[in-house]
Parts: sequence; structure tokens; C-alpha cells
Amino acid sequence: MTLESLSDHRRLSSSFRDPSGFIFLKDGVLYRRIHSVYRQQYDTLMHSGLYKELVDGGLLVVHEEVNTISHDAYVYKTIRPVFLQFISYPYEWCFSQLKDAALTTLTVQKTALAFGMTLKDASAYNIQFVRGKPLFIDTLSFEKYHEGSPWNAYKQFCQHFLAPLALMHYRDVRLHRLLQCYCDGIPLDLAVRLLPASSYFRLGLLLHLHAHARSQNRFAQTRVNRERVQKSFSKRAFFGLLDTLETTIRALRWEPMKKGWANYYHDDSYSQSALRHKRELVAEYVDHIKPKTVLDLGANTGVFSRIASDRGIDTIACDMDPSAVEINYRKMKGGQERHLLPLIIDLTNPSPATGWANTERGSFLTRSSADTVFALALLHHLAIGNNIPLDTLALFFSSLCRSLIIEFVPKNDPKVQQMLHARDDIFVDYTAQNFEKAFRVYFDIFRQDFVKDSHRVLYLMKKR
Amino acid sequence: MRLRFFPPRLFFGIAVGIFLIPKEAYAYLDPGSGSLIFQVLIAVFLGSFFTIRAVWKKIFVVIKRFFKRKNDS
Repeated sequence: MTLESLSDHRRLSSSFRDPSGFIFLKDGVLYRRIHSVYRQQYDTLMHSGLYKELVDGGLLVVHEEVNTISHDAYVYKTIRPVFLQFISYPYEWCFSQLKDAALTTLTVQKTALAFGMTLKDASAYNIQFVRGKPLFIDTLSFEKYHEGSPWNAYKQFCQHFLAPLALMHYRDVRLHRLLQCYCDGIPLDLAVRLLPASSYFRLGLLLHLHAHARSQNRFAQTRVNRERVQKSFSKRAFFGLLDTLETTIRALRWEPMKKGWANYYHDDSYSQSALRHKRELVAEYVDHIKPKTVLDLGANTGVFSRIASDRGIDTIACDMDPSAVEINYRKMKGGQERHLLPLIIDLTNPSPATGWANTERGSFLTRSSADTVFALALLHHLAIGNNIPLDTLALFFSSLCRSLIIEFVPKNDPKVQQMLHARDDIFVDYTAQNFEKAFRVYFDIFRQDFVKDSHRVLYLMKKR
Repeated sequence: MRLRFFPPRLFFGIAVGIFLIPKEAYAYLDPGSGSLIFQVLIAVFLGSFFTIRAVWKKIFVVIKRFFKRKNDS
């Protein structure tokens, strides 16, 4: 019996590299099958105490074993991991999210060693943000540790985590987008070419990036005597490796800009009474619809996202500005918020489908439908700032949600005036009437309210 | 500047393989020969680093305890 004959099993497009098993969907439920070749490793994970230790520490996804799925001798067991509502990818994370994901991976690895196991891969895609914290989701990543063996996942860890964090620290925070181009992390030879000379003076980077890259280059064609190599790396050296990686990563920092987008609600053009009234209106709309999930587009630092997430509604807060997302994430961490996930998304160019056959990692838009979308202080950036016609925008929003809370920002608003002062006003069609007409093709306008002390209008729309 | 950790002969001695052993069924990831060899090359340094840090932490705890006792008395 092969997978192809099991027509009701749909293997996830991203789960195919590891012969230990894979994730699949059956009748809308997510399962992971464990192949017999992985039997001993899985039993060790479960019986050594490692699984319990990681789950109790909130580090590993919880699963239960199921016996309702029939299988042949090739399969050892089937498990059902806790279903994750939303999947995000490392190229959508801000600096601190990537850093926390790296530190979580190292913690999982150190814990595994204490129970006689080790991680066979250290990909950033093994981490998801769940209830505000990084969570290791690949239950089949563990294998028995043989004392003397180096870490098989060392190269992957450096490429997925250390290289991008170093580039963001030393050069530019926007370099996280390189992770979208390179599915297995940033190649070390590329990373070290982009790093400045000052990075040589940080011992951890000198070792794990510069010297590591040179070694990769030097020994690329070398045949390794694995038997000998597997006796040449003591456990003490392993702990030293993990310690130096951790120290190096902790020392990498990036401070968000306080001016610019991150300061949006504190500059003079946005009055406090307008802000207050807008918050009241959004809260009324949310209390009326009671959505299960919210997608806040152009969320900035999450001022309005929190109207939903504070009510226990799972909310994704997207913004294209890394500073705004970083500030949002730090606030979320500090408040131990459990229903908010900030992400860096440029709506005019959201994450595309990447990886093998362009289906391995889905595009942001295929992953991100929600009950309700917030499009507050956003429309003018798309329609005027990016020349996107209103009817195209209406179609776009209709594909994402069942209901929409959207703000129309007219031309006489100070922010729009600022956008138009250096360019020709070609936007003759940008009016409230045309906006309503375009959106009425897909939505019914349930409510509309003027925001006090401004020219803006807030709408609550429901899809037809 | 070319970085050299050991004389070339020793490099060669460690690095030249005799034969490749087939991969185990579950270790699917290519660890990269350069990354494996690199870890072996820096193993001594890493092991010493870890030992010194562990010893230093213990010394630090003892010193802290000593000064705390002094302050209390």
C-alpha cells in the first residue's frame, strides 16, 4: 500500500524530505505518520522523558497517538499533533522573532542532549509562533545521540539563524528577506562576503561564520571518514558549540527606529480624540461580528489589532515596516499576550509561494484568510501610494475575509495631502462614492461612521 | 589573510577519507563535509572553552557566597 493508493490522505506539500515520516491531512484533520525506520528514535523520545520535559517547558508541540488510521508495515504509528491555525515563515519574522526562534532551537537541542538525544535538523521552519511563543513543531527531528558525533544540523543552524541575524545586526534589517530567496538559509559564503570587517572581531562570528565558511569551501569535495569523525567530537565540545552559538546570538541586537511609521499615532496630524473615537468604533464593530480570527493589514504597532486580540480573538498583525513589527512583538512579549502574531508583510508584494515546485511553502495570501480583515489607515497607501484601482482593491479584500472593517481616507486628509504634494493628482476617481460603489460589488455596507475630529469614514462591510 | 589552524599535513591526515559509510535511513540532512570537519577541528577549543566557563561559574558562585557571608556577619 503506497501513499498514492490512499486517496483520502493528502500529504502536505512541505513534508517530504525526511524518510522518518510525513504530515498529511485526512478528512480535514492533520496527522503525522511515523515510519518503521524511525521506530527506535520515536520510542526513545517518548520513553526517555525528553518528550515530557519539552512539552512541560512549552517547547515542543503536543501530540496524541491515534489508532483509527489503518496502515501497512511500513508505518510504525500515526500521531495527531495539535493543529496550528496559522503558519508563518522565517522571512516574515522580525529580528527578535528570528532571534527567539534561534534560542528556542538551541534550548531544545541542549535539553535533548541531557536525555541522550540530538536534533538531526535545525531548520527555522521547525519553529512556529503559537500563543505568542516560539514552538518546535517537528516531532521527528530527534535522533539518538552517539557520544563523539558532531552536530549534523550545525551547518543548517548557522545558515537559517546565525547568518541572517548577523546580517541584520551589522548591515540592514531588511536582509531577512534573503531567507525567502534561499530556502535552506543564507549560504555562509554569501553571508561572510556581505559582513563587514568588524564582524571578525566577534569571536562567535569569526568561528561559526567566517572560519566555518572557509572550511566549507576548503573541504567541499573531501570524502569524510564518517566512522572516525563520529568519534572525534566529545560531548563537552558539543556543549561548548551550543554555548558559543547561544552567547553569540544573544549578543546580536537591533533597535527599531522610533521615528517614522512606528511613531504614526504620536505625531500632530492624528488627533487623540480621533484616535479614541476610532478605537471605540472598531470595538463596537468587533463586538457585533464576534469573529474567530482577525487579519489586521497595515497594523503598525498593533494599536487596533489589540482590540481583537485582547478579546481572545486570534489576530495576525501585518505591517511592512520592520520597526513597527519589532515594537509590536516586544510589546506582545512583555505583556505575555497569547492571541497576537505580528509579521512583516509588504501587501504590495506579499511572500510568494517558494521552495520545491513553487508549492513547498505556500504564499502568504493562501495562508491568511480570516473571518474579519482590518484595513485601517491603509486604503490610501494602496490606492494613491501604489496606484492600485479601487475595484482591484475591492476584489482583493473580498478574497480574504467574510467581513471587513475598512477606513476611507479622503483626499483632504492631511496624510493624503502629504502624499500628493510632490506629485500630479491623477486620482480623479478616488472619492467616497466610487469607493462605496467598488466595494458594493462584493460587500454589503452594514455600518458607516464618521471618525470625530477628522474627515475619515469607518465602514463595517459584510461579504455578499 | 588565509586562516590556518593546523599544518597542511595534519589537515590532510584528518580530512582524507578511506571510504564513505552509507547514511542511516533517518539522518536525511546533508550535514556538509566542511561543517563536519570544521567541528572536529575546533573540538578541542570548544571543549576547553566549555570547561573553563563551567569552572569559572563555580569560582564565581564561591566568591559571591564568600562576600555575602562577609556582609552578613
